[in-house]
Amino acid sequence: MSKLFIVWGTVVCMWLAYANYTGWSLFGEAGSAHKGSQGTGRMYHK
Amino acid sequence: MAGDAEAESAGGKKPAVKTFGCTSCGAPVSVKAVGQTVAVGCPSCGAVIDVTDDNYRIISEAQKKILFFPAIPLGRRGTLHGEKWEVIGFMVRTDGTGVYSWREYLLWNPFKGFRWLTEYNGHWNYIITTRKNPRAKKDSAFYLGRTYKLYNRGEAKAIFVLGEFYWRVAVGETVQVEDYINPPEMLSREVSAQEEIWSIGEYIEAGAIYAAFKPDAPLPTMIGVAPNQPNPEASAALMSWRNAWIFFGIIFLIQIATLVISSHSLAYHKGFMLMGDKPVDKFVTPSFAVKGWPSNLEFTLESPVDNSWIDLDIDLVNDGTGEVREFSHGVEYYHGRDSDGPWSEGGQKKDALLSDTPDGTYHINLDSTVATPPAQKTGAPQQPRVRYFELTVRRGVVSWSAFVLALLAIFAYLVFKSMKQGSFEAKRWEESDFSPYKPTD
Repeated sequence: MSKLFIVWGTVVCMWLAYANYTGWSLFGEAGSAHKGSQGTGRMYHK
Repeated sequence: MAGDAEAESAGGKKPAVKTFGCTSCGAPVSVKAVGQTVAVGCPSCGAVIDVTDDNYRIISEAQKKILFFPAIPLGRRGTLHGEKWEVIGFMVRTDGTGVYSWREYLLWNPFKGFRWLTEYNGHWNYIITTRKNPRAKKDSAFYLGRTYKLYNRGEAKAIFVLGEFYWRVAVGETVQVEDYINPPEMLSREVSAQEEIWSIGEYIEAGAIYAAFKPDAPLPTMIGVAPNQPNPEASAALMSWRNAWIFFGIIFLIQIATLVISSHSLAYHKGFMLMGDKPVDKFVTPSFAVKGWPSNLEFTLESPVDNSWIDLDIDLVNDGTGEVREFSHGVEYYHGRDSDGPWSEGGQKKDALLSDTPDGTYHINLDSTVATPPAQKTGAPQQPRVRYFELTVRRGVVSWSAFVLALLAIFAYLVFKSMKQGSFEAKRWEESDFSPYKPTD
């Protein structure tokens, strides 16, 4: 097995494991999501 | 080449060297394969002399100028395939057009007979005549259980001769040739008015030639791909296809493990009703717990929209850290009928995913907007077309897109290797009239 293929296959498998760990998905990912700070207060009425 | 190249000297005695004066220029000419050599090209004037003739008859006249010099000097000895060989003859041949030329070196061992080395564009072949004729049919030849594809068919004309040969070679001698390949081997058929000769050649690295004969000058530079040059990508591509199953297996195992250990649990679910007549409303959910490793959260929005839409601006707030993740989510569903029949687009249910969400306690701020009908002439306030939606939040939903992408990534490598292999093969057949890579007329 060529070294390049070993490296490539290993990277792909590691990426898949990480993607599954974080629950990443190519489709349906809320693209506009971002991190901010809004405090913990309830802003709206229930 | 012609004649029986596998003739061996009788008795294994060390042969004597025969020397005589060139009939054309008088320069001393020596014969080493005494009894086997038939013609000699004079190293001084290039005349080819029949050494079986008592008067050393000239077969072809002296060449005005010696234009070709062997890369391996005549008389140089070297070991190839475990046997010692001496270079005793050198000739240059061209194809029928005179465009392509190649060089042939006759090797001699008094106990093993004759072999050939050929060189074209810096690529070398080690050649021996076959013990029996291969079988040729259409564009293929068959020999010792192997099939060879026709690569070249045409003429070969000797344009320069130097040293000894075991047949009456002459400058201008022309034979019909066919070359069949099955890398690293090549079968060659030469047909003259007198005989039909088959030989089999094996591609040999220039480095092996250099190491064996240690020529005085560098060997010709390799250009392009030789007809029977082994494809370095062929074995690599085959090996990659075999070993790809290891990675395919690992990928399947990772996905199965993910399916087994993912929670896919319900974190939050509630239905919401818009209050009042306004098309916008805001909600805040109670806190809910999200457990497990930092996997994803899937937000499923369902609403009975009908030729209408609803949009949500969602703030997912981590109660512990205050960190907020904001995104938009919505559903729309339209349908009707036109001249082509019924149509529809969108749907009443849609998922959105937030990956890499840590565990903790969260609540959601919802800012909802729904469609309103077109304004009426009466000026009366318009009622929103839909007032209700449900939001479901699930933890640890397994994604299949990463799995598919991983499979494609491995497959892409295999395609890449196969393309490299194909590119080498296309180059191999570039100079052939029988290339499977060229469209047939």
